[in-house]
Amino acid sequence: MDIVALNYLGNIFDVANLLAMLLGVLVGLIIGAIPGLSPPMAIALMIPVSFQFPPETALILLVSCFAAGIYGGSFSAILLRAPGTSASAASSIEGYEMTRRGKAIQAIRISTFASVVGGIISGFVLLILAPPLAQVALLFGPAEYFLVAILGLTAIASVSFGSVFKGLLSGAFGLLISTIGIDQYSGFPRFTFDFVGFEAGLGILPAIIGLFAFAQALELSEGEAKNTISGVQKLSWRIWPDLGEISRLRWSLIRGWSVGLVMGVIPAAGGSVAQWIAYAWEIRRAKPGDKFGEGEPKGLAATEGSNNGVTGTSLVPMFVLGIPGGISAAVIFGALMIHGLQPGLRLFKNSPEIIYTIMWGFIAANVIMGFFAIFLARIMAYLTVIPRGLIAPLIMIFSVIGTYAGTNNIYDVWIMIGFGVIGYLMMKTNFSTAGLLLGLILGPIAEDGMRDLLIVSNNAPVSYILTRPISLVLVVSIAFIIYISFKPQPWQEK
Amino acid sequence: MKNIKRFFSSLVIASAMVLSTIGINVAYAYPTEPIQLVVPFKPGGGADRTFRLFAPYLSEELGVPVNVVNIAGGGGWVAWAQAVKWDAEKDDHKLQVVNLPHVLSMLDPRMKRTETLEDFNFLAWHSLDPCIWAVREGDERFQSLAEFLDYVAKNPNEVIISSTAVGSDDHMGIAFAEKNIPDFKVRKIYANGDSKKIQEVLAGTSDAVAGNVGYYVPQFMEGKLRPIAVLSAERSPNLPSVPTFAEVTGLMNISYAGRTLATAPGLSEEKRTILLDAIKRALANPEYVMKEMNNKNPLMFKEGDELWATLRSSKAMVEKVKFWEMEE
Repeated sequence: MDIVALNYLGNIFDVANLLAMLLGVLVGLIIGAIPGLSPPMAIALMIPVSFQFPPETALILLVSCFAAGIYGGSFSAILLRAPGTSASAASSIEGYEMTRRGKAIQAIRISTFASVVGGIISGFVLLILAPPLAQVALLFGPAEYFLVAILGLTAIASVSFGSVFKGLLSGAFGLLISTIGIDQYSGFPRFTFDFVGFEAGLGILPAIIGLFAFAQALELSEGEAKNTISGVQKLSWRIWPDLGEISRLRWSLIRGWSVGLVMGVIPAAGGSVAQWIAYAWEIRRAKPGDKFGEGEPKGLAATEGSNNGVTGTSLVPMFVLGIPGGISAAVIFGALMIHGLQPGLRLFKNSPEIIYTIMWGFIAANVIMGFFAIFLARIMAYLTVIPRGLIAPLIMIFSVIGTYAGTNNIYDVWIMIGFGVIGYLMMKTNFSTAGLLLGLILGPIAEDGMRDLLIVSNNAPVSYILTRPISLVLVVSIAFIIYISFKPQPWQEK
Repeated sequence: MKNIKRFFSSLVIASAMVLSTIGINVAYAYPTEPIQLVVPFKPGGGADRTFRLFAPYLSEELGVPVNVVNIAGGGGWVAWAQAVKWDAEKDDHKLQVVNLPHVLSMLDPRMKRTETLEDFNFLAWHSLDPCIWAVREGDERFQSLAEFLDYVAKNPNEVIISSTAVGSDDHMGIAFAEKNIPDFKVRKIYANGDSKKIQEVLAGTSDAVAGNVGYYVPQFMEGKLRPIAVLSAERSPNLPSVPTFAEVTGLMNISYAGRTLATAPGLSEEKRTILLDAIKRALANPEYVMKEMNNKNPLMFKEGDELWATLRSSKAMVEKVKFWEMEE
C-alpha cells in the first residue's frame, strides 16, 4: 500500500496543489485562532471556493484548512486562555500559565513542534495504515463508548488542581447540565424550561468560550489596568525549540502523539477526549519538581501533541468506511461526494491518484503550517504585552462576536456569558472549570453509550461487557487509574 | 441671488429625477440588494452543504449575491420562529430553509409551540430524500423486506434497528410500522446522525438501519449494506431495483427528509413571483443538477397547491403516528 502511495508524492508539487495548501493553511490558522470560529466553519466556507478546482486540489484545500484550524486554536488558548477550538481547551491550562510567567514564546515553540510533528506522523499513519486501521472503528460499540467516556471522566481527578472533591463536584455539575436538551430516545425536552436556547442542548463551543475566555477576561479586569498578562514587555525571537528542549519533553510528546493517533480512529469520541486523556496521563507521571497547573511544559507538549495527532487518523474511518468521526470530517466527506468521489475502499482501488495525493497534501500542509505558524504566532504573541485594561475588554468583545458569528444564535451568546460568570466564580472558589467542561463533553457520550448498551444487551450490560475484549481492557484501565488517582503523587507531597 | 435660485431649482429637479428612478427601481427591479438565504443549522451539515452549492446558481438568476446565513439552535426553531414573523417590506430579501419533518415538531404538545404550517409563506419545494431500510449485505437471516418482517414476527424484540432520534423521518417510518403491523416488535437505538448508525450496523451492534437514500448510496455501492425497502409512493430513481414498503406490505409507509424554501409572510405577489421563478430556473440548471447528483441529494421542485398537498400529507402522517405518545 505504501509503495502505491509513493507514486503520487510528486503530485503535491503541482502549483495548484501548493497554492491550495497555502490558502487552506492561512484560512485555517486565522479562523482557528479566533475563539468561536471553528475548523468546520473554515472548511464549510472553503467548499464553494473548492468547486473551481479538480477534486484532489479541492480536497487538499480542505484538509489543509482542517490541520491548520486545529493548530490555530492553540494560539489564543496559550496566549489568552481563550481556546479557539474545542480541541485546544486543555492546552489553555498549562499554555496560559506559561504565558503568565513570561514564557509565551517557549509555549508557542513547544506547541508548534508538537503540532507539526504530530500532524505529520498522523498523516503518515493515514497514508500507510488507513484500510486496516479503519476496522478498529468497528470494534467500538455502545459498551466501548460508555467506557471511553468514563475513562475520560477519570481525568477530572488529575486536572482539578487543589481539591479532588471540588473537581468531582464540578464534573458532576457538568454531567448534570449535559442532559439539557431534547432527549433523542423520547423526543422529550429535558430541563429546557421552555427556553428555546436550551432545546438543542448546551453547545460545547459557547461553554468553552465562556468558561475559559470570558471568565479569564473577567479576572483580568481586576487589578491594575496598566499591567500586562505576562509582566514582560520584550519577546524573544527563538521560535523553534532546540534539541535539549525537545529531548527533555520527548516522553511527553510521544505519549501525547500516541494518545492522539489512537483516539483519532474512534469516531465521535476522539478529538475532544484525546487531549484530556493525554494531559491526565502526563500529570499522573509527574516527577518531583514538575509544576503541573503552574505552567508545566510537559503538560502542554502532551495536549498539543495529542490534538494534532488526532487530525490524520480521524480521517481514517471517513475515507475507508464512509463514517465521518467529527464535524470537520463530515464536511470533508460531503465535499468528496460533491466532487463525485464515493468514500470507501473502492476509492482506494479506483482513484488512488486522488486519494493518495490528498493524503500527501495533508502531510505537506502540516510542514507549511509549521513555517507560517511560527511567524504568525510571533506576531500574535504581542497580544501578551498589551495592558490588561485593553486586552480584557477585547477578549470579551471577541468572545461575543465569536460565539455569535458561527451560528447567529443570540441564545448561545447568553449561554456563553452565563458560563463566563460561572467560570469566574469557580476560579475564585477553586472549583474546576476543566472538570465541568469534561462532564459536559463526556456526558452525552456516556449517556448514549449506557442507554444503547442496556438495549443491545437486553438489560444485562455486565455479561455483555465481559464478552468484549476492548471493553475489558478499558475496565481494567479505569480501575487502575482510579487506584493511582487516590494515591498521593510525589509532587503533591512536596 | 439668481444663481442661487437657479442652483436650488436645478437641485430640486435633479433630486426629483433621482428619486423617480429609485421609484421605478422599486417597482420594477427586485431584488435590489443581496439575498440572505437562512439555513437553520450549523455550517457544515447536509442542509448547509446543499444550499451553499445552490446559492451561486440562485444568485445567477436573481442578479444579486445570495449569502448563506446560518442561524442554528433549537432544532431549527431559533431561525423558524423568526421567519414566521418576518416583515413583508423590511425582510423582503430573505429566504428561509424549512426542513421536513423537523418543522413538524410543532405538533408535539411537549414542545409547546404556537406556530402552524400556515404561518410560513412557503415558496417552493427544493429537495426530497426518501427513507430507506437497509441490512448488512449477506446477512443470512434476511435479504429482503418480506424476509425481514417474517423474521421480526417470529423473533419478537430480537432485531435491533439503528435510527435517528425520536421524531425524525427515520424514526417516523419505524413508528408507522409498529403502529400498523401487529407483530412488528423491534429494539431501537438512536443516533443524532448517520455516522453512528452506519458504524453500528456495519459492526453488527444493530441488525438494520433506517436512513435516507442519499446518504446510503455509497454504502450500497461499496457492497457493505443492502437496501430492503424505500419508504415512498414510488421507487427511487437512484435505487430502481429496490421495492417500496407499500409494494411488499400494502401499507403506505411514506417518510422522507425534505427541504423547502419560504419567504416573508405577506410578501407582494410581484416579488414572490420573481423569487419563485429564479428558484425554479436555478433548480433546473444542469450544472447544479449534476453537482447534487454527485452529492446524492435528490432535487424536487414543487410550488403552489402541489407543494401544500405534500406539506399537508406529511403533517397528516405525523398526526397519525403521534410519535410523542409512543415512547414512555
